[in-house]
Amino acid sequence: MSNTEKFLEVNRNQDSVPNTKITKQHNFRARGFAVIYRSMFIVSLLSGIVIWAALSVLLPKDVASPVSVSQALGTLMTNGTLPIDIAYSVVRVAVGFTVGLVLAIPVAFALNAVRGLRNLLDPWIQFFRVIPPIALIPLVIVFFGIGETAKVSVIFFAVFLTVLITTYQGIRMIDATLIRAARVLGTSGWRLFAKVIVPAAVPSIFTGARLGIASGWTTLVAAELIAASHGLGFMITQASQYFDLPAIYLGIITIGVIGFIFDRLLLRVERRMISWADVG
Amino acid sequence: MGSVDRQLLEPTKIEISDLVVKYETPGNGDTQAALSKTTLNVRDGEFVAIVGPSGCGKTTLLNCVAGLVRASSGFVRVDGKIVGGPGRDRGVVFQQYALFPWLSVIENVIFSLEMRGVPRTERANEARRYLDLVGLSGVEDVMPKALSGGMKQRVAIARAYAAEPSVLLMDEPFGALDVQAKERLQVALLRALQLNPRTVLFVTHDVEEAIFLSDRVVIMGANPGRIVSETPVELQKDRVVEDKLSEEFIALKSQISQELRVIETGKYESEAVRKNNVISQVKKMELN
Ligand SMILES: Nc1ncnc2c1ncn2[C@@H]1O[C@H](COP(=O)(O)OP(=O)(O)OP(=O)(O)O)[C@@H](O)[C@H]1O
Ligand SMILES: [Mg+2]
Repeated sequence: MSNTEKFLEVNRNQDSVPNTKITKQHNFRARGFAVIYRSMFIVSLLSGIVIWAALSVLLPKDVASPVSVSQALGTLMTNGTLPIDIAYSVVRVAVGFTVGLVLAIPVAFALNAVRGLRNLLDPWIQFFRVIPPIALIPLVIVFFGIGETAKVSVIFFAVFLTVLITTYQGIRMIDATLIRAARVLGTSGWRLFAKVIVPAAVPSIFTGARLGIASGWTTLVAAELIAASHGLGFMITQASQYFDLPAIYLGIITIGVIGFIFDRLLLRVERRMISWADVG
Repeated sequence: MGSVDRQLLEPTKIEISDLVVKYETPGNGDTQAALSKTTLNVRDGEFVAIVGPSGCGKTTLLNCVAGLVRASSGFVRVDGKIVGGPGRDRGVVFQQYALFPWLSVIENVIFSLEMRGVPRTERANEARRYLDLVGLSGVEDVMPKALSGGMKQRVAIARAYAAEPSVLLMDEPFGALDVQAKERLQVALLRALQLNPRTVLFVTHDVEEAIFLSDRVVIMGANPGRIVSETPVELQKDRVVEDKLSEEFIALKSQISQELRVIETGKYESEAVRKNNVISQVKKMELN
């Protein structure tokens, strides 16, 4: 903040741009909007619950009511199954996501650096990205059996492809003028890579990571179709066999909420790490 | 006149000789000449401004000197050495500023010092010196996105200076600025050059800017890209903004603008030229 103020002070004396009056007004207005935006979140949450409640009254056979889902939540929390299911799923997604992310990033850089590699791998990337992870399950079982490796590998597969494609595109779009500017200052080779290309790629790595974690959660239910005995996906599958509607809704909502929390955490890290970019 | 004679004795700094640049048209394998047989010599310490219609190859010419674009034939020599790629002896200032957005103002300048091998402990002080040179202080820790265009370009000039190049290549550096900021930057650049003289090749669309800053205005034409003519600017060395209103300045401006108009329309409209000459004569008399 003090930097910004200092900047405004200097700016008044130097190059014309923002008239401080306008800037202050703008800040004031921006703060007003921030309050509105924050209350929008609560409004949106409440209206979601209201619509849900209304639907559950209108379609009692298809929609579990908020009350029954809360009751299921209470039961499954007290008997301890929900926390265990959550823990299993979070660990699976976290492991699949981490491995996927860590492997996808260097591949994305390599694809950009080596044109031959790009031509070599591009058809396969396009090939695999259209295959829904659920269709791979029989193959995964053949290769990895029915243990944790199998479940995590399905999630890994989804995350890896998502991060790879997003990050690769992002790196490709790095402003060429920045690279030129570095080159005319005498930067080349590894220094150019480490000091310019990597930092310039960080925003797209974050975009890739956020999309990647979303596809990790999306794939969870499919992954837990593989002989699971715990996890949120397993919980939903099992509940559907007994047609336990409140438990199905609870599982879905829990996945959504945890996914949302993961995304917000990543967004927070992103905002802190790359405050220089305009993070949405 | 005396100053011109003295300048002629200065050694050649940049030698552009029969330079041809062809770009490949994407899709088919055709090539298209962006620059045809261009020859231009720039003396040590000289400020040469290049003006010309859009697409006539100004950026191409500059990038060739910078070593960012390869010559198809002919060559560029700087200090007698053939240009084969980018180098620290030639600093570039881009129209789009090209500051590293993840680095603060001072870190951008330090980047340049680091590449030059300035010891770590000296970098911060050195960087402040270069920021002072372009009239920036108190914004060291601000991130580029918070700066006005004029300030961004000041930082970019400081960063280019910090590499201690002997040649500065500037491609429409003030093209995106509003009139007031532009004028302030022009003055700031002249001041920096007075304190730290450099050989400058400066591309602009603004004839007034070209005259105000330079020792010589080179006019380029398109299809194919080439140098059409050049005009020495024989104004005093220590220029102030008020000089833009002087009789000489206005005459020179109308002459070059007219040449450009002719190039752009492609036809020599002698009638219009004559009329314009009459107008500038009248203006001269009015000023007197
Ligand atoms: N990388 C490129 N590939 C193919 N053609 C190019 C490339 N860069 C420039 N050209 C073409 O070469 C010609 C000269 O371009 P250049 O950018 O040098 O012109 P300019 O005088 O700088 O124009 P402007 O005033 O608009 O900046 C133009 O016809 C342009 O379309
Ligand atoms: Mg150009």
